[in-house]
This record gives sequence, C-alpha cells and structure tokens, in this order.
Amino acid sequence: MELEFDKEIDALLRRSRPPDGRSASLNAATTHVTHLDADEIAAYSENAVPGSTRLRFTQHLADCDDCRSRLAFAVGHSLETATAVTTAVEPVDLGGVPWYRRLFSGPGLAVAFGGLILVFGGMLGFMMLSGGGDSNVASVFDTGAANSTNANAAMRSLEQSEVQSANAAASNSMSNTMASAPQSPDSSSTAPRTSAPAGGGRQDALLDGATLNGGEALMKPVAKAAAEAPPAPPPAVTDSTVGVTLSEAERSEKKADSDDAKEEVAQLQRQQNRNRDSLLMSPKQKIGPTARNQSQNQVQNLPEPARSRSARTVGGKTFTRRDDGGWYDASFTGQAMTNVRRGTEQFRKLDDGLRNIANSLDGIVVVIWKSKAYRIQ
Amino acid sequence: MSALAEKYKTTVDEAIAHLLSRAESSRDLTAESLTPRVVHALEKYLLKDNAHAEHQDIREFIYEIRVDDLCLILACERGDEAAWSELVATFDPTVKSAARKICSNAEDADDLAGSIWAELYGLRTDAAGNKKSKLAYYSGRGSLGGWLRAVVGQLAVDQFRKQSKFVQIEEDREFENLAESAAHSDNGLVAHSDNPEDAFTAKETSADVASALATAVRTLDAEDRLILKLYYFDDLKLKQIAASFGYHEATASRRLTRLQHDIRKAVERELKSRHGWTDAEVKRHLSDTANRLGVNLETMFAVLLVAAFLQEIAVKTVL
Repeated sequence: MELEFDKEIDALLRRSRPPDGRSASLNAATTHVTHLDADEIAAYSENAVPGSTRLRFTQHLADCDDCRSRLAFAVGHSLETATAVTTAVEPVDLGGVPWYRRLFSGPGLAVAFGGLILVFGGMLGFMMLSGGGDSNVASVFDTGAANSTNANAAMRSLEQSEVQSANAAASNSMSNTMASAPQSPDSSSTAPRTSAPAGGGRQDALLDGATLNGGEALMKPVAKAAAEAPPAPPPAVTDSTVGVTLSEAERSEKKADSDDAKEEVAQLQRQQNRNRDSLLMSPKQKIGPTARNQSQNQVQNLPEPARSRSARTVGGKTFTRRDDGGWYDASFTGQAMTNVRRGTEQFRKLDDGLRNIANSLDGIVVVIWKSKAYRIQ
Repeated sequence: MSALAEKYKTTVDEAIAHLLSRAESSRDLTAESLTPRVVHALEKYLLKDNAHAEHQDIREFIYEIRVDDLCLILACERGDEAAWSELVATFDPTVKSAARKICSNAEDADDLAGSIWAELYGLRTDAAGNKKSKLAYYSGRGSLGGWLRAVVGQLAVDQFRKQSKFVQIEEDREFENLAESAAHSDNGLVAHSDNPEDAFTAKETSADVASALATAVRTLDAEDRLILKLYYFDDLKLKQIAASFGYHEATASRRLTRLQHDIRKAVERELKSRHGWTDAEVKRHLSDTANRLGVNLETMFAVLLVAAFLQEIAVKTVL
C-alpha cells in the first residue's frame, strides 16, 4: 500500500525547524567525538565512503548540526550530484511541498500569475477576433453546403439552389437565343455551371439529369450552337454542368415530344425528392454492393478501351466516350445490349436512375444497369 | 605504513601501480609518491572500522580513488607551478560559486575565495619551514571539486559560529524551541485567545506535541534522522539527498513519506501513552495545527488577489 504525503506531520516538522536554518546547539553526544573534516564530508556527500565507515559517519551526522550543515552545503552546491542524478523512470510526485503550496511560493506564484495573464489575454484576443468574424460564419452556413451534420438543411438548400439554377439556365438560354450568335462551348456550358449548386460534385452529378431535364427545352438553341462549335475540352469529373450536345436528329425527335418534356419536368420533381434521400447515402451505397463488386471485377477484365477523348462520372458510374461518339459504361464488357430509344414508352418504363443517366449524357449511352446492358439512343 | 596496512603491503603496492597506470596525466609522479596518501586514506576510511578487510576490498577501495585529482594535488604540493595554475584555473569558479552562497555580495565572496586559495597554497609555514597547506588533507576518495566545496562550507560554519551569540551546550533543543516559540507566537500552535485558561491549555498542548515529536524523531535510526533533518532543516531537495545516499529520487520520496507515517504513529502513541490524550484529541489537534499553518498563507494570498482585482475594477469604474 502506497502511503500518502502527510501534510500535518510535514507542517509540524517544518515548524520545528530552527529560525536560522540550523541550530547553534551542540549535541551532548557529539561534544567529545571528532567531527568530520572536509575530506570526509566530501567523500560522504558523493557516496564514496565504504559501508562500515559510512555507518559511523551517518550516526555522527544525524546528531551533529555543524557537520550536517557542512554536508548540506557540500551537497546543495555540488555540481556533480546535480549531473549524476538519474531521472526517475516514472514521474515522481515528490513527497515534499504539496503542489498547492508550491503555487504560493515565490517563483511558483510568479509563474502562476504569468500563466493566468497569458490565458486571459489569449481568451480576450480570441473573443475579439471571433466577434468580427460572426457575419462571415453566418454566410457560410447559409449556403447549407458546409453543414454535413444537418441533412435537412442541406437538402433544402440544394432544392433552392436547383430552382435557382433552373431559372438561371432559362434566363441565360433565353438571352443566348435572342443573341442568336454561335456560342462558344465555354459560354454555353458556363451558364449552367455558374448556377450549379454549391454542393459536392457527386451530388451535382446525381442532379445533373434533373437539372438538364428541367431546362432542356430552353437550352436547345444553345446546344445547337455548341454542337457547331469546336469540340469542347473534356470537362472535369465533378463538373456539375452538362454540356449536352444533342444531334439534330434527336433534337427534332424531341420537338415532337414536347408533351413528354412536360411529363419529364414532373418526373424531375419526383427525382429531386428521391435524390434528397440519396444524399444521405454513401457513394458506395448508391452504387450498391453487387454493382460495386461487379464493376470492380469488370474493371479488371475490361478490355483496353478505344481511345476516349473524355470520361464522365454520372450516377456513380464512369463513362468513357468512344470513337463512335457514344458513352460507354466502364462496366460494359461487350455483353448483349437492349436498345432503347429516348422518348419512347419503353424508355419511360426504365428505372428512374437509368433514365437520368441517359438524359445526362448525349448521344448513345451504353450503361450497365442491374446486370443488364442497355443501349440508349 | 602502519602495522595494519603492512599486511596488505603487496596488495596496496600492486593496486597503486594499477591506479597510476589509469591516470590520464600522472605528472611525473611515481607509485611511491602516491603510497603515503593512499595508505592514509585506507586507514582512515576502511581499516579503522574494518581491521580485517579482505584484499579484494583493499583493491576496490584503491581503484575508486580519483587518481587524476590526486595527482594534481600531489603535483601542487611538490611545487609544480603548472599544476597549481591548472588547479586554480579549473576550480576557481567552483570556489567562488560556493563562496557567493555564504557571502552577501560578490566582493566578499571574492575575498573569501582568495583567502581559501591562500590557505590551500600554504602561505604559512611550520616550525621546520615547511608550507602548511590544506591540500594535504585531500585523500582522493571524493572529487576535488566536492572537497573544495566542503572546505568552503567548513569556513562558512566556522564563520557562523563566530558570529553566533547563542550557544547551548546541552541536548538537542530544536523541538523544545518549537514549543517555546509557539508559546510566544500567535501564528502557530497557540490560538490567540484572551481566555487565560485557553491560552494555558494551548501552551501545554503545544509543549506536549513538541515533546512527542522530539521523542518520535529520536527513535528513528540514524540514516532516517539524517534524511529528515537534511530535508526539513537544511532545505535539501530529495534529488540531492538521494544522490548522497546512492539511491533513486523516487526511493527518497517514498522513504520520506514512510518517515512521516512512522513519526505520526510515534507521536500519536506518545501523546496517548505519556500525556493521556484521547484519539479524538490527537486527531483534532494535529489537523488544527496543519490547517492553521497552511490556510494562513494561502488565505492571505487569496485575499490579496481579490483585493487587487477589486481595486482594478474600482479604478476603471471611477475613471
């Protein structure tokens, strides 16, 4: 059992100390005993006295104040003892002055007060600095993109930003239509990009289809000009805007399907609702374990793709554009495909996610969906 | 060589030769030069208490001698000026540092250091005209720096004894002084009270405690008593005490705590058996004593802090 420091006995012993630090008295038992000389005290202080002699010295020193004082002087000012002492393996809480008393000793008190001043000064400075940045903090949180812990707020902000992007896309496309000037790919793709929500690229990729569907009709003239322009550089994977380039044939087909476009707007709303739920899911969950494993396996077996000029990630799937202009799912390994044309009843019967992917990409899209290959054109 | 050392002559000679061979700088000294000093140390430290020491003990004792320091001192005694210059150059800071601990100012410390060097050099001569130098007292068992510090310390004690006006030639009175000072002080064991009965009771109580404490300390063995006094009377740190006794700092800490525990047991036993105190009285009085001693200082500082803050606030408010 480890004993604790006894502050009561410590106090009594300290009180028993003579005022001058050592007593001027002589112990009667040592008056007729030869005192220790400097050589003996030095040897004793450095533990250099043999055992039997050391015992004799100890008995004398325990009762002789003068010799003990000389010993204390030699030990207290010994440089060798200070450097020869090995530090304890574990922190030693010296059984000396308790920590709460050390605070009130001279040097300890100064250190304590200095520390307090530093702490309070730091707190005051921090409060002053933080008080000036409150407005910036509020604006950051207003976007809703940084608050990952509040999913509802994030979803609401995304919805708002999506509406804004749709409106902005509509206004931009209208202005471009009025200008009727060939638009550079950059500008055509810039407008939706700037109105893209501030969220992550993955979220934007999921919403890309919805965004495009909502403003698709208005962007047709813009897309036409973009198609006539030089090919755009491959956009970033997380690019939220989709530079849709529809072929003229498909565009004409869509003109005939204006009613379908309205229906798709409604579907867009429904898709948005579903996408809110998907925000809470991890990317791997969205892909699905089976699909993920499948894609991993298929990636390993994937033949060397044709030289692709760009790669896109839509709906968690990676598509590469091949020489024929189509977007091919990275999971595609040449299996039999089901041909589906956009705007047909068969297309409408497809899963929403599949339709969104198809609508997010232009031209021919070959996608692996639920272990089946679809060729959507 | 004394009769005691004669029987170890062969062992001593061999050990001295081996010792000299280990010296970094023998300063042209021979084994014969070292023999008198080594034999004197042998008789002083080993054979005096152990006349039948083993030859191995003799060899180990001689091997532990600080041969370089001893050769330096012997060269100085022989009149080697280069050795003396080296001695002063190397250890003058040590002597001055120790002197400053005694003297109140640097000038007095330098004067004291100068007088010490003069004593070591041997400005005085004996009847035969030989220099009387304190260097002859260095045996080589401890380090030369430690020996010089001890020399300065000896001068310090001698100086204090000359200045002291109060010398008691009787039994140790530290603890009796405790009771006496406590009786005339209201910042210790005695409660400040106008009631003469309470004052008398407090005085008697303090005397009983002091007596019990003195008895408890006397019952300790020599090393424990020495440790206790070095710590409480001489303000040595546990680290320094541990180094002197050759054990670890943690060991010294545990030993001190155990000593406190033993003293408490002894004080309680003494108060109950000899002075007739009850358990409650013992516990209450020891607790009151510690609390009174401890709270006073801390309460004072706490009050000072609060007063300083209030003053600051008041000044700002007014201004």
